[in-house]
Amino acid sequence: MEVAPDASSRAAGRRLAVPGPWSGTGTQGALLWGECHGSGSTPYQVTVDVAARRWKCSCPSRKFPCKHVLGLLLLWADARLDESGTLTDFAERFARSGAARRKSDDGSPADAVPEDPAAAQARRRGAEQRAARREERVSEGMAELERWLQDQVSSGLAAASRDPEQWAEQVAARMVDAQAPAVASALRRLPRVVRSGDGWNERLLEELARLHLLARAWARAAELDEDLAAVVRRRVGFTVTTEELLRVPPVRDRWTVVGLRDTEEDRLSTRTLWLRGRSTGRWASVHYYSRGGEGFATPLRRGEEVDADLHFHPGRPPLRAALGTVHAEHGRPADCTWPGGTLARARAQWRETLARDPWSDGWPVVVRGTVDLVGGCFVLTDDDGDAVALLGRWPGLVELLGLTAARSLPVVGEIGPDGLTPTAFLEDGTVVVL
Amino acid sequence: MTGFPDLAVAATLGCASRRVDLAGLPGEISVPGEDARAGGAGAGGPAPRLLDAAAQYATARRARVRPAAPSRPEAPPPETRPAVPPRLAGVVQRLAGDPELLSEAVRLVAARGLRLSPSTLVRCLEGADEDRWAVLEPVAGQAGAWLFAKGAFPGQRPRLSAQERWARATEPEARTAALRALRAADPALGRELLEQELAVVRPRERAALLPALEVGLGPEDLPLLTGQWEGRAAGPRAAARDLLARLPGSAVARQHEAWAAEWITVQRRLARSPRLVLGGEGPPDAERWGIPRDSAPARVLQVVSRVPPDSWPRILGLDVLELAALLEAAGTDPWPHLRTAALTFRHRRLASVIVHRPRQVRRAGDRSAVRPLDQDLLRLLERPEQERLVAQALRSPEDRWPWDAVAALAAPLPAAVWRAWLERLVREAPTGGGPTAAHWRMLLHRVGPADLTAVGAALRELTARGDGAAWRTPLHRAVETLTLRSALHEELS
Repeated sequence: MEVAPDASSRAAGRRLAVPGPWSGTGTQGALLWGECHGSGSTPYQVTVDVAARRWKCSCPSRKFPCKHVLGLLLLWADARLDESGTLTDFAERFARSGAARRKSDDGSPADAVPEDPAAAQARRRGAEQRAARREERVSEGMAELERWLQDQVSSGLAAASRDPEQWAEQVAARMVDAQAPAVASALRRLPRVVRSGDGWNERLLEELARLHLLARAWARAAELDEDLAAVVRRRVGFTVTTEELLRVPPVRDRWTVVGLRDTEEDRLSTRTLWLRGRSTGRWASVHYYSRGGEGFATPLRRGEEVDADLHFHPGRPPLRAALGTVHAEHGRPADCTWPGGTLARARAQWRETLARDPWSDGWPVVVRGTVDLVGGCFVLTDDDGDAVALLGRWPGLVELLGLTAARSLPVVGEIGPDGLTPTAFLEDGTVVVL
Repeated sequence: MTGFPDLAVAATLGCASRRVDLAGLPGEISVPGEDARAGGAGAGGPAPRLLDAAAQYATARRARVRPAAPSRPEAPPPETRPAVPPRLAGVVQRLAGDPELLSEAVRLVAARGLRLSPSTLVRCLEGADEDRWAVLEPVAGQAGAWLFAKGAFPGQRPRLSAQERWARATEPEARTAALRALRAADPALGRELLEQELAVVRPRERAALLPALEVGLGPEDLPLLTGQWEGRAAGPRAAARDLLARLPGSAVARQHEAWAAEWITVQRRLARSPRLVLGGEGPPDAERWGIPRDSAPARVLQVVSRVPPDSWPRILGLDVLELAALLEAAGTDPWPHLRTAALTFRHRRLASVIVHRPRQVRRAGDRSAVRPLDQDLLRLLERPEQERLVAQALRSPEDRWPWDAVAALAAPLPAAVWRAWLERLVREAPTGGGPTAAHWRMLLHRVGPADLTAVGAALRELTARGDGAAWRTPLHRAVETLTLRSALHEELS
């Protein structure tokens, strides 16, 4: 039921995990199929590839997977699925499309229809024009942002405290119009800084200074090297499509999921997964998005390892990636040997990261140390006696404290200016994700 | 030297009016001169240079990673019990929102010599009220207790003794409940603490607390109650009087019996059934006694409610039921007062007779309705009789609201009762009637371990029938709850 997008889907799936509504069910290897009779006259056609974690249903539900898929899975898991049905057309088509998807490695859909050359050229020209217009809009918007920043420090940031919510809203809306959404989001986070208590003005100036740096970097983008220019574009709000990313040469490794965080902003839910490569030792973060309470369709599960290709976004250093081909799933590894370094080393890694990307908010590290709770604050003390505050949600921190129980263990987390946000720890070769 | 705080002050007040010494920046922070600024946008002046300096400072500040005071804790003692397997831990988490079911789960876990892991404890305590730790503490293990001692569960509090709860309670309901619990644990201590309290609180609070003495009421309570009865405040006097009436040998009890003998005369007639003559004068201080002054039948009935039912043969040579019949024949309705007597003196036989009396209500246009079963009287009966009456009420269409009756039955419910409950549900729910969420909880908490599978199967069958949309949600929740309880009992019983 871990794949269920939400609790109501789980409950709905359980209700359908009875033989009554189903007909023509069957299995072949990892493939399951069946027809589920609902209130309408036409039953829904449901197919599931258990091994590949793919599913399809003909119902109009916007949830993924839907309750019919969940019901079929539960019936199969409970060994109550009548497996006598013959392979149906829809199940066979589903199986074929899965095989085609696995064979395709050029990022294009397996059943893509070749395009007319003239139409392709017109499409490309249109895209170039749109891109050029966007560049202009962003430049205008960033210039306006710079003027606004200078006006604020010139007239005084004290004005922000009079109405924090509205103070930056107009310029944030302007950034949306200028197609610089990441800048708009950064501006909309400023009211929290204004309301943050003592020292708010210093913290606010820090954030405004970062935006000033970004505006200046955008203005001089032509002078920057390619990687840094790509970072600036991303920080402004340019995105790289998955199709483009999948054309970037992948990094193949056995990737262990060492962290998971769900956030929500403006009704968009984001799941961030942190991965570490067994051979390369590289870090990666993979993002999934959903709207309106739909779940996240991802084969990556906490603490488990996949042999897969990751396609990294341009970055300095590259961290964000898109999941490409999954070659195999290995379940929970029992032989992770990351000894964990000291906090001094982690701080050095953070400084290096910040030197290459001044807008970075954190970098994954592994630090060996002991967790404690003192005066209401969680701390990690490394084996050298150096310590850092642990940040994050209370349940995860208590769980970390309770499970590590005063032992010195490698703790995986994201280090940043305010401390370390733990996501997992290692125990006897196993990754325990909080 | 101009540091970041100086820049922040200037920016807060406005660098147009508050000068900032940009020449005083440290050497590592480089800011172009006003006339040499390149690549910037907007107006000149100190603002862009201040922002340049602030950006460099900000990056340097952010690179530092705020340090913390090092601290390494003492390790918790080694665990003495294994942890509940993950699948069952998940079941316990899902039951954590229901206090009764969580308590059942904790009992089962503890009985098997298991504990909950810190991860499970954290999830069970997240968003919980402050008393949940007390429920979970027996199965928290060494790590859980260690976490609690470190303050890892803010807002939770340990299990308090009855005396501690009494000492901390401030709201009237909480104080009464704490006192009743104290009396149940140690009647003498409860009386002693109450006596101290009565000396300092107002009459209204004394009147609210005194009834708690009914728990473990005994001759040792006579002096305290007599003191309150002889006091001047009406509320405490009435509360004390009601309790004294229950103590055989007390002056109050003896007085009521004396009045019964004086005000009720049994006229035995040849070849005819006896009859009662109700008369006599009420006491001059009738108000103090809570006795109606003017009406002889009303006076008599008030006395009837305060005399132990088993005393009537001695007082009048009549069994209590014979007395009831004669009082009815005399034109009175003794049953409400006999009900009080049955409850006060926990008289099973009288309770049984009253419960079996016709319950029809006279309602315009509805001659078929009956009053619900009296749960308080039901609780006094023998178990088999309770079960029979509840099952009968569930099966009787005239009994319009039988669901509450289940509350009188302690767990486990016999099959006859839960089958009748489900049959009634099937009949009634599709038309919009049926149990409330509270009644569902009552049922689900009272199904015994041996019947969980059968009840779950019956409910799943109802689910598959697909009718009665209004009750589908509680039905599915019920199936889920029973499945969870089933899983626990299968693995841990």
